[in-house]
Amino acid sequence: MAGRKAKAEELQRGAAVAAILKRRGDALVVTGIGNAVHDVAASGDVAENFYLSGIMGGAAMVGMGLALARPDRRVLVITGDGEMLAGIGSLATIGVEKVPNLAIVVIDNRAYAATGMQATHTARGVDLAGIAKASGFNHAVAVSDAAGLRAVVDDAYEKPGPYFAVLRVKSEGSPRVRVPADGTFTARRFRRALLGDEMNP
Amino acid sequence: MNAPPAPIAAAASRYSPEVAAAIAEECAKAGIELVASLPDDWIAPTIAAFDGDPRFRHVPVNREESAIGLCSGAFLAGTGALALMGASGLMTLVYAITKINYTYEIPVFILITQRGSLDDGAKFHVSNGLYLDQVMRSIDLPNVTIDSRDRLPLIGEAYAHSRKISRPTVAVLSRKLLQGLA
Repeated sequence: MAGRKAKAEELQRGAAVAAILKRRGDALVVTGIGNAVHDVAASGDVAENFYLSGIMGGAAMVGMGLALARPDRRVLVITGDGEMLAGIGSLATIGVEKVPNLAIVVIDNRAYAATGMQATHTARGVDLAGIAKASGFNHAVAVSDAAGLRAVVDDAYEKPGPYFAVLRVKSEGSPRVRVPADGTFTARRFRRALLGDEMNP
Repeated sequence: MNAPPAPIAAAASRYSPEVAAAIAEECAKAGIELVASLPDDWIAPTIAAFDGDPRFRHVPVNREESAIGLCSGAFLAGTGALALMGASGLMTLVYAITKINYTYEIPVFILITQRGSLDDGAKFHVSNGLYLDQVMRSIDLPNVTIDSRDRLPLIGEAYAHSRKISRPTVAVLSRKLLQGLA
């Protein structure tokens, strides 16, 4: 593993996320902090998106809480490699709990794109899909081309979870799009979409 | 992966299974259905009580931030949740609480032990006795101490208060309560 260099990748992050979200149906989406927020919002800012812009490493567990509370809905966590690495221990919890309706998609550009493109550990060969597999995820893949992405587009919604996919994308950030910046608004909009008039307390 | 472990046993604990059952009862009455826990021997019977009670989905987690994330996600979907941990765990949570729960106004109810109290003989918990109250005060985290059985209904009040103010609240469980001595 040590010293392994990342290969040149073909996937473009925004297009890859758009392809996945195009068939989201009624899936609930949680983003990790950073460029994943913009990738998801660029595909449509809808109430069923929860942009977790506040904390590194928290997205997977927020997704797990949602998935346990709403087993009738697919929950998709879309996050970056840096954010996933910050919450890497959560993969063990999700894996052993076998949450069937939870899918995690990691956009792996091997860098902290939001803060200046500092290299993450995936740039040095850390295998996130391997960690997920060893943690008990039912499916864990890493893809870097169009054929692999096509499989993820289907499997993220159809494979019994927990499902984990790494999208190896070009090492770049994302174009900024307008995203609701107010956390309270985002949370209440999301709850209202899920719970309607039953949202209180 | 290995097979699931056997249910968590409360046997051989110096702490009271009766008090643990009463804590679980108060949580159920409050509307809590999901419990994320981290270990502390003071609450070993409490963790076992949640684990063996079909009214709860108990999720042992491996970081305190994971408990906050799990409970926050559950709240977004309308499910009542509890984060159960030692005092040391709360000391790690300033970032998660202020970044998730304050920013998004997501209530979370947290039950902790009063590690570092005068009756705690563990030298390595002295830091909690010195700083826990100040840390909670510094981030305006409402909290209540439950130091006798007749105060256990405060669990439900603290849980409801978190919903009312859209922020986390904390209930601190004393050692003598958990030992069944108060």
